[in-house]
Amino acid sequence: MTHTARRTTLRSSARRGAVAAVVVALLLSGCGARQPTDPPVSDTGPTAAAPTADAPSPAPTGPAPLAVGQPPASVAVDAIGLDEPLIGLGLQADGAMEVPTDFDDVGWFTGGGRPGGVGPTVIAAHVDSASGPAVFARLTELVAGDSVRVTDVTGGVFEYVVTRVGDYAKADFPTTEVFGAVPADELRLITCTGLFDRSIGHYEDNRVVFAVRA
Amino acid sequence: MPNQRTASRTATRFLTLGGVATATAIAVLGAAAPASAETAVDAPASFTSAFTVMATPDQVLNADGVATPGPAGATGQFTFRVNSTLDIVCYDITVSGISGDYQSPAKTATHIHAAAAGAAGPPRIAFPNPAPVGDGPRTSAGCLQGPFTTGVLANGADTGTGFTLAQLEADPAGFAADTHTVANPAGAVRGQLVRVPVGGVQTGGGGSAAASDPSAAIGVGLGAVTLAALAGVVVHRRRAASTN
Repeated sequence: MTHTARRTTLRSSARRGAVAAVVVALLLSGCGARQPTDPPVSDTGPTAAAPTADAPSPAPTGPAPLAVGQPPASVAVDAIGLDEPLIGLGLQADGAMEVPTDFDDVGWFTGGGRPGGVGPTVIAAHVDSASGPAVFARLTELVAGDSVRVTDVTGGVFEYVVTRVGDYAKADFPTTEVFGAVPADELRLITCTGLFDRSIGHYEDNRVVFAVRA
Repeated sequence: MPNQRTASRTATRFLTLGGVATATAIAVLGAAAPASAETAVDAPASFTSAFTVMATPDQVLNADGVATPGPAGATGQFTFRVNSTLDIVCYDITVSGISGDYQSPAKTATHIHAAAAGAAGPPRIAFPNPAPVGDGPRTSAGCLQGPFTTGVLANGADTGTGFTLAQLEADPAGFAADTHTVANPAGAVRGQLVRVPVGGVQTGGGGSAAASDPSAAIGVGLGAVTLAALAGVVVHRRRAASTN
């Protein structure tokens, strides 16, 4: 795919993301569909993978500010044949992370880290839809040592290596480990795993893939 | 109360040092042991919000709002999970690259301040200082329930008075976390609160769950197929809607 073509795809994806932001409030969220419905709140709300202004450097002297990075535009994992553009994801009204409305979309948390900067870039997508496998169906195949490539909106490519994977009950989700600030350029990939609780329409666990810059 | 006993014993020791020292000791201790301090509690069953802070030396300001950088290379990672209904904050703090003991006029030296980026402001919560004091990484974790006090008085009132965690949720960017040391009393590291998701991420529709959960597949048979087919129709409709 040419650079221009890729950017076109991103813009298309961006529009889709914006529409999804509205639709998610009306139709479904995440693991399925029974969840509701409140519109996203937050200043990080669902925006597409478009560049945003970086914070100005506050201190002219002394220690330099940490790098911020640019918004990610796509993620590729050769080990599982994945190469997808990214949409922006914010927060739901209950404080949980938004998830893509379309089971074929992959999204990143716009309030978190960015490739090339410090902090975890968090990427999430569905393991399946209500009818079959979705775009992150093979994420659970990743193991320590696998490589993940993230490309930012400027075309910069950032290589990450998986350091560990973990399964966590959603009721006891490790917020600090996954979303907490870190003084390094790191990556998290999230999907669902474990048993599916049909009474609530959600999986009980999350698979989290932890990766650091190669 | 243990605090009162401790204060009393300490004050007694200061009495031997003379009148001025005694008065100072009592004033300080009085501020450090307020009557309605927050209490350490277990983590609640759920949270309403979460925040993280990447604290760095370049973001430190003194009380007048003048840039006063901490030591180069120092970092602080603060993650807060909040249940604003119960006014409980669970904190998970790691500070690296600092040395020496803590120093602050507040009852501890590790705080959330009501301070936007580039501005100074009063502490609202005082957390137990990360330990151990030394050159290695220091950590502090636990949960506190309000009402909060800091031990710092402004206009006769503790700066924690009237603060609730709902205020964090209303305006996270209006708050900063930091820690103060003897070497850097204005702060060794500081950073603004950034809201992050709380709880798990709902990333599956269950369409392949039967296959990945053999126990669920037994006996479900045609029912599951039917359910999946019905769900497929729903998804199809949703996808159609999402393209409008």
